[in-house]
Amino acid sequence: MTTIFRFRPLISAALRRHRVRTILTMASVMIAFLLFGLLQALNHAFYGGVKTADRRALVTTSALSMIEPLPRADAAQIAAMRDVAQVAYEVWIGAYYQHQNQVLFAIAVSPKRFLAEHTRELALTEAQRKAWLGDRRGALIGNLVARTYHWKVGEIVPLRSNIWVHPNGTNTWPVKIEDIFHSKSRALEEGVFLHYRYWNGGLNKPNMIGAIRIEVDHFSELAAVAHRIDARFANSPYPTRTASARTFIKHFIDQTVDIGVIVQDILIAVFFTMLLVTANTLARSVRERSSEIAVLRTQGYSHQLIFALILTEALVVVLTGGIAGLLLATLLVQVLHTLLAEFLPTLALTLKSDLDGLGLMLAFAGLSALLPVFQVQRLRIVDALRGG
Amino acid sequence: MSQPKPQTVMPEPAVGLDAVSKCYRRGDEVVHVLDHFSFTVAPGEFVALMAPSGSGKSTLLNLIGGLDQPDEGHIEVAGTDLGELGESARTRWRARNIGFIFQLYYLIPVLSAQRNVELPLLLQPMSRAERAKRVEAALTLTGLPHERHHFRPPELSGGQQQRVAIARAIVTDPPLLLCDEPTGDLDRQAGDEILGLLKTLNERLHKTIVMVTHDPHAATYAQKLVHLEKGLVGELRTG
Repeated sequence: MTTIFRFRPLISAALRRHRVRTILTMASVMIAFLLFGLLQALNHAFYGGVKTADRRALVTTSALSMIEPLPRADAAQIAAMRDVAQVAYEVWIGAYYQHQNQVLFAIAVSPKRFLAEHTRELALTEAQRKAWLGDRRGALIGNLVARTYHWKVGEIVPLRSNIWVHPNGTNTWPVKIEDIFHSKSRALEEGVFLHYRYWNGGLNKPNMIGAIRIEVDHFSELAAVAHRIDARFANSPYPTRTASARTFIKHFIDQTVDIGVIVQDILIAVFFTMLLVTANTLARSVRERSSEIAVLRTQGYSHQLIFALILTEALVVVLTGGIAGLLLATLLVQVLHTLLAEFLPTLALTLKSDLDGLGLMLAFAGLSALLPVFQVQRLRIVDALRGG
Repeated sequence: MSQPKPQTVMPEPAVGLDAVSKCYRRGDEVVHVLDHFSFTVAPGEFVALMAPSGSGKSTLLNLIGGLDQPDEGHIEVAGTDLGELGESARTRWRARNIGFIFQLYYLIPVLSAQRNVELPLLLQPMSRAERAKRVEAALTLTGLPHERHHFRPPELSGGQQQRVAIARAIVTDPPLLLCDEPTGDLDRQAGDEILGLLKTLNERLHKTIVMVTHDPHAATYAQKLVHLEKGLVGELRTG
């Protein structure tokens, strides 16, 4: 079988015919994929935690709103339910460091449960665990956060809360950095974990919690357990809504801003426009070459071969522009990650995004080539030659 | 006992058209370009087809080259009934048997003369070295100066471009060359050189040539002149 590689002079000729047009088309594709890369990175920054969440985990919050508290006693009731392996509770602190824009992912947790739940993810020694458990002002700080603010173990740092007032009447909560941990979980490395007991004193209604994290015995029991929990509290003053941890995280992000929809809408608009531009450019290029294509047909070039040549031409344009766009996006994301580490610590272009981009390029090239291929299909050699 | 009569073995014609008709629609009007037209070309013959504009000479060339199909009649070229070939088979047959030469050369402007001539060879299972050898041979045969073999068409004169086009047509060594006004875009001197080249290809390489022209001077290079008038053979002269 004749390989398409043999016909590279023809493909090269088609691309060199109008160099500026080819370069501009490649540049347009590059910009589309640069945008794709940046938006994918942004998407990952927001939703990266969704995919890494434990498949066996459930999260229970108030059915009224995510910010409505639940009684801490509910956690004990849930722990006693069938098929429930572990239960932990937590409260969102709404904390920041010195300025409001230095937002921290800080939660107050039940320390024992938290450590039990994350035994594998947290690289802590027994002595470190004991030290944290023994100091209710102690905080476990994820490595990424500590690096961002140059915090050291043993330091007392003032955390401020938008929600909770300290018993001294201010919104500043001094916490001692008990340990800075490394973890394979990026979500944990971005976190600040505090004692629930310490923060409980600042709650308007003591012994209330924000969310209950439940680990079930088997993944297959997830839906049944969630249903049982919600049924148990349906007629209580604090009805619950229980969802998988993945759903919860996604829902939590979507409440702030539906990044997924925004990313999707922008990309659809960009790619649809780019598809029209690229397809039109290719179609125009083919139309200009109709007499040459007709001559190739007189020389024995089949329809299929001409289609393959046009498709290859489209692939060269789209892959060159697209790969350049993704490379540029990778560089930009690295720069942005350095600049925005405190706001978007998981900003990154993943391998999956690159592969998605590559798939998109192939589809893009295929769709762009459809119109020109249709033109060639309809091309009558004698008419094209008569047209000169 | 009677002696058996000596049999005359007629050579198979290079081109044979039998009662070929072709019409086109021009709006509501049906234009009969060829009407039961019959015509043969012997192997190794150089035939000029002369006719006024619109009398079907290009159509005839397209039919012989398998670029178009007749409404009626049979066309046989080099022993192949073109009516029996499908689109793909006709394309493959064309690659092996026909070399086209056009008035406007139809070279790819961004490719060198060598690359243009190489294009038909890309379809053949052939090494790059073999392709290069054949391209050089074809270009040399057409008389294009060696130093211009790597020139691109816009850097060549009209006559030189037509030489490149002829080299492209003969590089696969097809037995039949179909020329559509090959000198129509050239001055007299360049035209004479091209016609001389075609005559040489006919005489030395025994290429069968069917040339459409409206120029009586060009027609004098052919061995046979066929004059078409409204789709019918109006005059036949053997030169």
